[in-house]
Amino acid sequence: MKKGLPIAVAILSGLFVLAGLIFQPYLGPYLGLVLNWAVIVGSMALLVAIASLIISHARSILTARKGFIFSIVILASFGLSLVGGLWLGVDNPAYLKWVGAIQRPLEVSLLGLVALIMTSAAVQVFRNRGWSPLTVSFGLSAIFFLLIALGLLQTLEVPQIATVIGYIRQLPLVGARGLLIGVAIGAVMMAIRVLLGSERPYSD
Amino acid sequence: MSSLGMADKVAIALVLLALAGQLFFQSARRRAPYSKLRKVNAYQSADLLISAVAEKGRRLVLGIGNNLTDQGASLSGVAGLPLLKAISRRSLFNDQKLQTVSGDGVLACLSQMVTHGAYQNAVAVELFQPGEAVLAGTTRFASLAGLLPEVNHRANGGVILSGQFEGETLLALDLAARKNILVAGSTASLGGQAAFLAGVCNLALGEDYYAPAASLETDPAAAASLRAQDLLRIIIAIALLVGAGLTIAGVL
Repeated sequence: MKKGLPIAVAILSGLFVLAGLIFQPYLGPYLGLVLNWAVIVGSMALLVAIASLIISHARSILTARKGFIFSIVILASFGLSLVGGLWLGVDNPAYLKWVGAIQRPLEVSLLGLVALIMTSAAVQVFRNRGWSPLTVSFGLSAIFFLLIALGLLQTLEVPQIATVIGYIRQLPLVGARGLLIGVAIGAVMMAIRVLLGSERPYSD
Repeated sequence: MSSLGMADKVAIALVLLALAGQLFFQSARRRAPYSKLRKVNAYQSADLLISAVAEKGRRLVLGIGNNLTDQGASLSGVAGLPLLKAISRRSLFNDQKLQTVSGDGVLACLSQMVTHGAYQNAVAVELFQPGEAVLAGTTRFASLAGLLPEVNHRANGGVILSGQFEGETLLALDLAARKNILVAGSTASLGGQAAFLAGVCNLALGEDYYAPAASLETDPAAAASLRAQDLLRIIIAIALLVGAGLTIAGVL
C-alpha cells in the first residue's frame, strides 16, 4: 500500500494529462486544474528543498566546517532577499533593482568566464580526444562559422557565395533536429515506462 | 478528438508503436533482459568510475541538473534519477558518501527520497543524512555556483553529470580537468551537449541520455526501452528518407 499508492497516483495523473491533451475540448478545464495542483506541489517541494539547504548550511556554521564563511554569506544573502521581498513585495521596482544589481553582474561575469573557458576547451578538444572525424569536423566547422560570422565572405557580394553560405547555415539546424528527434524518442520511452509503472523516479 | 491534425495522428501512432515495442521486448526478453544489449560508453565509464572512486576511498559527486519544473521543463530533467538510484545502491557503505547536487527544488526532494530509499532498502536508514542530496540553487547560474565547490572538494575522486545542463557547465568541467578529476556526463540539452563534447571525454548524446539503468543493468524495463527506441529510430529514419524522396518526387 505504501509503495502502491504513489505508483497509482503517478500513473493516473499521467494518463489523465495525456487524455487531457488528446480530448482537450472535453477535459481542458480539468487539465488546467490538475496542472495547478502540480504547480502547488512543486512550490511546496521547492520550500522543502530550501529548508533543507538552510539546515545544511546552518549545520556547517555550527560545526565550523571548512569553508563555513561561505555558508554565512549564503544564509545572510538569503535572509536579506527574503526580508526585502516580504517587506517591500516581490514586484516592488526598488527591490527588483536591488536584487538585479547584485545578481546580473555576477551572472554576466560568469558568462564572460565561460566564453574564455570555451575558447580554451575548443582547442583542448584535439588534445583530449585526438584526431578523429568528429574532432576534425568540429574544428573545420568552428573555423568556417567564425569566418561566416565575421562577414568577410559576405563583403565579396557574390550571389553564388551567399546562396552557399545560406545553405551551409542550415546544416547546424539539421544536426540539432537529428539530436532532438533522438532525445524525443528517449523521452517517449521513458514516459511510457512511467505510465506503465516500471519507472519510478519518485521513489527508491 | 475531431480537432486532431495530421501531426497529432502521426505522434499518436509513434507513441503506440513505442508502447508495442516496449511491451514486446519486455515480454520477449524476460529471462535475459541484458543479453546482447547495446551499451552506452558514457555509462560504462561511469560504472568504472564508481568502482575506481570506491577503491581509492574518494568521494563521488553526482550532478542531476535542473529544469524539471523551471522554464523549459521536460521529462529529461528527471533522467538523472535512475542513475542516482543505481549509484546509491552501490555506494551506500563507501568510505566517502555520494554527494548529489541538483538545481531544482522538486529534483532536490526526489533525490533525497531516492537516497533515503536506498538506505531504507539496505536496512541502514539511520546512516542517511539529508546533506547527501542538496539543492545547489534555483537558477542555472546559482546551481552552477553550488556545484563548483562540490567539484572542488579535496576528497573528490570523480564527477558524474547527468541531467539538464547548459553551456555554463563548462566551468565545472574545466575545474574538474584542472584538478585531474575524472568526469562522465550525459545531457539532453543542445547547449549542454556542446559543452560536454569540449569538456568531457565520456559523454552520452541524444536518446542514449535516457539509458543509464539499461547500461548499468539495474532495470529490465529500461533495457526493453533501449531496444524499442533503437527500433523506433530506424523506423523514423526510414520514414524521413521516404518522406524526403516523395517530397522531391512531388508526390507529397
